[in-house]
Formats: sequence, structure tokens, C-alpha cells
Amino acid sequence: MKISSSKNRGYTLLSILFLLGTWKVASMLIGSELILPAPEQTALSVGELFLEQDFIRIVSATIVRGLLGFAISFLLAIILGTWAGISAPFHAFLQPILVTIRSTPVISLILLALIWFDVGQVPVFIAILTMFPFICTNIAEGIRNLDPKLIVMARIYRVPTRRILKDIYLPGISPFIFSGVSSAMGFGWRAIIIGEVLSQPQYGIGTFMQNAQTYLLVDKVIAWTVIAIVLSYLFDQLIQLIEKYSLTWKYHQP
Amino acid sequence: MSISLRHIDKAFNQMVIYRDFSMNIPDKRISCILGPSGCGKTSLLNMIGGILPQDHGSIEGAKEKQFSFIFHEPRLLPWKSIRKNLELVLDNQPIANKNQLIDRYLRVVGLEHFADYYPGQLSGGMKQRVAIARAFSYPSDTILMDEPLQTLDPRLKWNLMKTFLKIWNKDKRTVVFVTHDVDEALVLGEEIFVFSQPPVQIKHQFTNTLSEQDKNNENQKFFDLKNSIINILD
Amino acid sequence: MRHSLKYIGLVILVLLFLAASCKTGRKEGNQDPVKVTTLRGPAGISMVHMMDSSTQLDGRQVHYQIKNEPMQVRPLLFQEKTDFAVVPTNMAAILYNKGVNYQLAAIPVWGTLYLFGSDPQIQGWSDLKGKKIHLMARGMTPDVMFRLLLKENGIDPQKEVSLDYSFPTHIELANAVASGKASLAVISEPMISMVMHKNPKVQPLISLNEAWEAYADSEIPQTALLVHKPLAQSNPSLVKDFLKAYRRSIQWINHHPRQGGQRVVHYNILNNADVASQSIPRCNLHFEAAYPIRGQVNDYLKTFYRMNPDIVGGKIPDENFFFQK
Repeated sequence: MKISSSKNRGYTLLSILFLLGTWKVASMLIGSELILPAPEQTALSVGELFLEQDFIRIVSATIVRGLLGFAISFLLAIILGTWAGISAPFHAFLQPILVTIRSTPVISLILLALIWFDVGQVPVFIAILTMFPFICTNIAEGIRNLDPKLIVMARIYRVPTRRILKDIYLPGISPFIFSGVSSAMGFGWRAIIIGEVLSQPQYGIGTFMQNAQTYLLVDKVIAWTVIAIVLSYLFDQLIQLIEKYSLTWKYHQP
Repeated sequence: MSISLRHIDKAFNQMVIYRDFSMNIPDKRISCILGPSGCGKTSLLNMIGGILPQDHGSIEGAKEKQFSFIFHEPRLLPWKSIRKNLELVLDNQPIANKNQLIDRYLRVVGLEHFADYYPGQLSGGMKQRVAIARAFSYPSDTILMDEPLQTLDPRLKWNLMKTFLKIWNKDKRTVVFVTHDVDEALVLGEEIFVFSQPPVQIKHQFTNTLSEQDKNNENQKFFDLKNSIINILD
Repeated sequence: MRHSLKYIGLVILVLLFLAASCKTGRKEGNQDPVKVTTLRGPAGISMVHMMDSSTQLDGRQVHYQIKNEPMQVRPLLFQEKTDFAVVPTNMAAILYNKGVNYQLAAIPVWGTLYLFGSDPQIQGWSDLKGKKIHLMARGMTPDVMFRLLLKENGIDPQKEVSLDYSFPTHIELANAVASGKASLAVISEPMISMVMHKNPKVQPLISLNEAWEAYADSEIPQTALLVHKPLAQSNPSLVKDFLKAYRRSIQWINHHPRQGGQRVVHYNILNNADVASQSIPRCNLHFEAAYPIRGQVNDYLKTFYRMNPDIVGGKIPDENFFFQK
């Protein structure tokens, strides 16, 4: 396993260099800072962003919204997803609702939210609507896919219900939960930032991205985009880390 | 009070498996239900164990019993270690030193070094041995087994059967196990019930008088008895 | 491995080719129609007479189009798809500083912004403390001007008021004020007249124009007419004629508000001729060529520059910003 992973890493590096190289050449050919600034310039802008006074406030505002949205989605998803996993009629009832939410373009949700909600709440609301369907569906699937044989075994051996929930349901659903959370987070961050772009709260990555666009500071737009990508990536890695830690048994296969 | 099935009816999808079926399970003995595949033996075991309700009839003496069940597959929680798997079933039971008990039974099945391993790291045979340890460490009075050795290779099978008898001899609980394998029936079973195809009848019922030395494939008595039973089986 | 390298190389070449062809420049053809882009607001109103009467100039057709928001005009300027365009003056400065190929030819529209609302308690700036005020879009002229005036009148725009940008276009904002959803907002004529007509409870509370003049001792050269540089260089007499026609158009509508109001409705800028005629005098239309008043324009830009250089594109534009006859 180890040998091929370092070979693969080599290709990943090559790909990144290739992307950077293409960017550099394209920016030279286009020759307009307005349309495509050079990568070094953008890197400089990213650096400048870090030094900006309110950088931490801006990024934390976005992160707080994301975490809040996630927490609420997760809670809702556990309740509704568990119910849907246990009850086939409720699952059938919930399906079209989830599909509708998942298929609605994010922008429509945002435009509606701007009408219904206070400006500060819009990004969180959008985050909830984008993340909830994924986590909910996954929890329901996890429960429906749970091996009933293990439950039968536990019942015969008179294992108390609370332990069945804690030691069979929960670990059995975990892989599904992690998968749902992982997808949800990816979409969630994107949705929050678009929400911020349109609702313009005082602090937020989306707000400042939009500002930069208004003032034609293209390098700043890209710089904020880079920050958004890094944010999404970091949280994704965090989830993978937690998953690795909780699902250690999966990695003990011969 | 021994378990007694009275006038059991059970049908699946309009196919009648049991009609007015009655049977007594002797206490503290190993009873073997031997029958062709698909004849409903597993359903009977599940009815005794309370997992499957019968359509009509009653099963006396079952409600008061505490059951261990060794299933066709090991049914261990893959995300818990062997030790924790056993702990789970002992959780609610009034036992003083659970860890000691677990260690003892793991030693008996030869897995004392694997207590902290995960099921994913063990072979099929090892997992079934854990299931046996679990069944015995749980303070049941009746053990139900559903073709637990079917998926194992012959040598492993014979070893596990010997292991099972070793434990059982020290702690004689009522055992009911179902199989279609005549070898298993003759090695493990004390009271042997030969079942027909559905609607199920007990075709033949006898007490196994083979001694321990007799119980191997080269033995003539074993071989003859096996042949006669194979002829009775549908 | 060799094959995939070749393939990657081909992909790179294609991408580069596409990238290079992105940079479009427009050649000046002598018979191409002259394209004019204006905004649905005072700028559009200022041009209605031109749109009726100046459809031909120096033997060339003139095509007019009306956009709802300055942000919709901006891409036309990047792609150099219009010969004349009307945008907010600070946006004109940003574009020039970023190398977009247009010059400032004239200022046709001066200060038209008001703080507007149905809250009778607002008598002066200090009454705004703790209130929520709606603005059209962050970074555009109403927003930066309002924030600057708040500061000059002792109010911290970040901490002491709540600024809300949830209605992103001036039409939406106007409707929100008319329906009562927004109780305080900064908007421009002719939206003001339109809203007052729909909802008599709404009144102009503070004139940003007056506040600015008190502070900066000059008027607000709010909206700019831009001209495509290549056209200005290859055909300056056409440009001059256009400017003359524009000046006449503005004079006409200021003198004929009633008829003007009907033309405004004809061009779909407002939908009520009476409201339109009433708003015309408040639209502060008077034509000034840019070069002679460049000092004033620079003072205007400098005020914003001191607040935040990005508002004007990072620096005060140089002399070449201004079209000279």
C-alpha cells in the first residue's frame, strides 16, 4: 500500500503544478489584470487578506454560520431521519420533500429566504436547507440498512434497549452519518457563501467577495475564493479525521 | 419444566410447514432436529426462542426459559472487540465478575489471546467459537443452535463439535440444535428427531447410544447408523 | 504515459488559444450603428428626447438600450460593446483605473439621493442612531455616500446603525419602501416620486445632496457619461455632435416636463406620466462637459478616496480620464 500511495502523491503534485502553470501562462496571454491576474499576484492578495484588520472576524462569522447551520441540520436530520428509517410510511412521506429541497437551485432558495427572513439569518437558513436533506437521507438509509440479524441476536440475549440503541444502531449508522455529513458540508459551505453574497451581512466571506467584485478587485475575489476553498477543505479533513478515529474497527480488517 | 410444543400450525405464503405439530423437548439433554434443507427446522427453533410467532398452538415451558442462541452466522458486532461483544450480552445479568467469566470461556474455546481483537480480524471458525463462548457465558438454561457449523470446513467442524461437548459436559443445559448434516447429529445429539418435508412430521425419534470412541467416520457402528438414517431422510 | 502527455499538451494549447481569443478589441467601422447604453432612472429620463429625435448622427444610425442596473452596463464596457454609456461616476473611475477603454465625457445627472421613509421621528442625523436603513447595494454610490455622511455627522456606520442590503436593486428597494417592508431607505429620483405616489406616508427625510454640499462645499457629480476611447480618437466630431444633442435633450426635458413625462412612460422608465413629470425637476439634470469641470469631479472622487481608495479604483484618475474636445 505504501509504495503506490507515494507514487499517487507524485501525480497529485504534478497536477497542481500543471494547474498553476496553465494559470500563469493564461494570465500572461490575456494580459489584463482585470480578467485574470497572475497566480503570484493572487497569492500576494491572499497574504494581504490575512493581514487585514477584520480578517478573523470575517472568517469566523462565516464559520459560525456554517456550524450553526450544521448543528441545526444535524439535529433535525437525526429526528426525522430516524423516524423515516423506522417507519416506511413516513419515509415515503418524506421522500418527495427531501427530493424537492435537494433539487431546488440554491439561488431560488436564497431569493425566497431574502423575502421571508431577516438578513442575518438568511445564510444559516440556506445552510440548513442544503445540508439537511443529505444527512437525513443518509441516516434513514443507515437505519434501513442495519443488519436486523444483530438486533435479533441482541433481543434474544435480552440486551436492554438503550444498549441496543447505543451499541448497535449508533455504530451501525455511523458510516452513513459520516458520508452524509461529508457531502452536506461540501454543499453547505458553498451555499453559505452565496447566501452571504446576496444578503450582505456585515461580516462574512461572501460579503467581502461581493465588495471586491463591486470595486473590480479581481485578485481579491479570487483570494477570497481561495480562502473559501481552504475552509471547505479543512472541515472535510476534520470530518475524515473524526471518522478515522471513531470507525477504527473498519481499518482492522485483515 | 421442559419445553413442549402442542398442536403448532405455521404457514408461510400459503405453504403449510406445520399442521397440528406436537413435540417434547427433553430437559438438560442435547436434542438434535435432523431434516432436509428447507423443511422448516429453523422456523421451529425461532418459534421456541420466541422470535417467530406460531399461527396456532402453544409452546409450553418456553416463557420461563432464558435462551442463548448460536446462529447460522456468528452475529458478532463488527465494531466491538471480542471481549466487548461478550460484555454486551452480560450487561444486564447479575454476574459478579464478568471479565473473569469472559476470560474463562474464551480460554475454553482456545481464544484467550484474542480478547481484544475485532471480529474482522478473525476467521470464520474463530468467530463461531466466540459465538459458542458467548452462548455459554450468558446465564441461560437453554441453548438453541441453528446449523452453526454449516459453513465450516470438515476438520474445523469436528474440532468445534469436540469443543462444544467439552464445555457442555461441565455445564449441562438443555440444548436444541437443528442440522441437515448426519455427522453433526450423531456426534452432538443425544435425542435425535428426524423430520420430514413439510407439512412436517417426526419420522423417527431415537436416543443416540454411540460412545465417544465410536464417534468418528472410520467406526463401523457410526457408519451403519449414519447409513440407516440417511435412508430415512427424505 | 507518453500518450497522456501528448493529450495533456493538446488540451493546454486549446485552452491557451481560447484564452487569447478572449481579449476582444473592437475595430471602428464607419457604417456601424452608434450604440448608447443608459440606465433606467434619471439617466434614462435625461435621454428620452434624444431617443426620439437623435436616431441618426453624422449619417450613422444610433441605437439606444436601457439597462436596469449599473452592474448590467459594466460587462458591456469590459467587452467594449457600447460606444457611449452612463454609469455612476465612482464606477467610471474604477473602470478607468483598471484599464477599461473609456473616457469621461460629461456629467449629465447631479445629486438625486434622499434618505426616505415613513418614520416621523427622524428630524436629523442623530435620530438615525439605532435604526435600520436599507441601501441598494454595498459599495455603490448611495451606500458609500450615505456612510460617509453618517460619519461626518458623528454616527458610526458600523456600530450605531444597522445597514441592510437585502433588496439589491433600486426597483426592489422602492417597492419595499412603498409596501412598508422597509421603513428607512436611501434612494434616488425618480423612484422617490414613484414611491410617494404609491404610499403617501413616505416622505423624503434628509437630502443627501444638501448634506454633501454642506460638508464638501460643492454639488455631487453623481452620474457620468462615458465614451469609447477609440471612437473619441477616430471620430471626435461625432462625439461632439452627440454631446451637443445630449445637452439639447436635457434642456428640452427640463423645459417640457409634462410632455417629457409622457415620453418617459413610453420608454418604460416609469409607468405613470404624472409621477414622471413631477420627478423631472427633482432629477437634477444639467449637462456639463467633463473636462472643464474636472476639478470638481476630482474633488468628488478625492472625498471617497479618503474614505476608502477602493471606492474609486485605488487612485485618483489622471488627466487622460477626461475627454477633451
